[in-house]
Amino acid sequence: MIKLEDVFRAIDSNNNIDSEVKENIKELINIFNSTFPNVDLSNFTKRIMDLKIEKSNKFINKRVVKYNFKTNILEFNVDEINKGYDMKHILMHGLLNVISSNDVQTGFNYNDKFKALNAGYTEILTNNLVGNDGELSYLDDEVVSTNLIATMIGNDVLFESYFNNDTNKLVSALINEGVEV
Amino acid sequence: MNMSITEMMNYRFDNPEVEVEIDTKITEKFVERDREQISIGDFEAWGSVSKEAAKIEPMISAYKTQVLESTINKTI
Repeated sequence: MIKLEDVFRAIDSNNNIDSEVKENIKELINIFNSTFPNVDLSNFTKRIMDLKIEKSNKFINKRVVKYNFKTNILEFNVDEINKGYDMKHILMHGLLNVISSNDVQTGFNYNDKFKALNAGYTEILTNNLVGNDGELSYLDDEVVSTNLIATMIGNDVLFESYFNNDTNKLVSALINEGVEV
Repeated sequence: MNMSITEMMNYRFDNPEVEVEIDTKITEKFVERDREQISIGDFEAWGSVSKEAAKIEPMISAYKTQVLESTINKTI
């Protein structure tokens, strides 16, 4: 398992990210690691070294935050964020996508098949890790639906599928509960 | 709308302005099986904050009544 100091070193090595944002990322990774010490940060460490953070607007990307694991670009929709979102919360949501990405997918979302469920679970984790001090909540509908599904298949299934990129585990559990995929 | 639950979730995710009854469909699956009390409580709590709560809550109430009746019948 990679050490936190190595993760921080990787964050520092990225010349695309300014120092203030690096410190914010370190703070959030520290919170993540304290809460989930058994989740491996190797994928994150690899990706953070050349992660690009870009600003977008409603004409380019309607989502508040969006991560593309193929291009390793984390986009923030400034128009949306300025409406009253908690930036720390949104950054944590984005970082969870980086943490949970491998070369094939983000979380358990293979080929966009489970993009909403994955986004809902990311938001559940985000609320758990940093709460929300903003005026606006994010992805409310997805959070509710994902929590309903979690009561059926078990939160542990979602957790393990998400951080191990194990879509098969999720699919088996859903089918077992009669939830069509 | 002839989509699976997860497909409907994706559709709503991409089209948030469109009302899609997803949580009701999830509830239909939930009440088809025996569930532990803690799961019923958790499901009821989340169902109550769904936009579809007006439909979900009666379904859960009916399910709980059914569970209670079944428990009583087993006891007698």
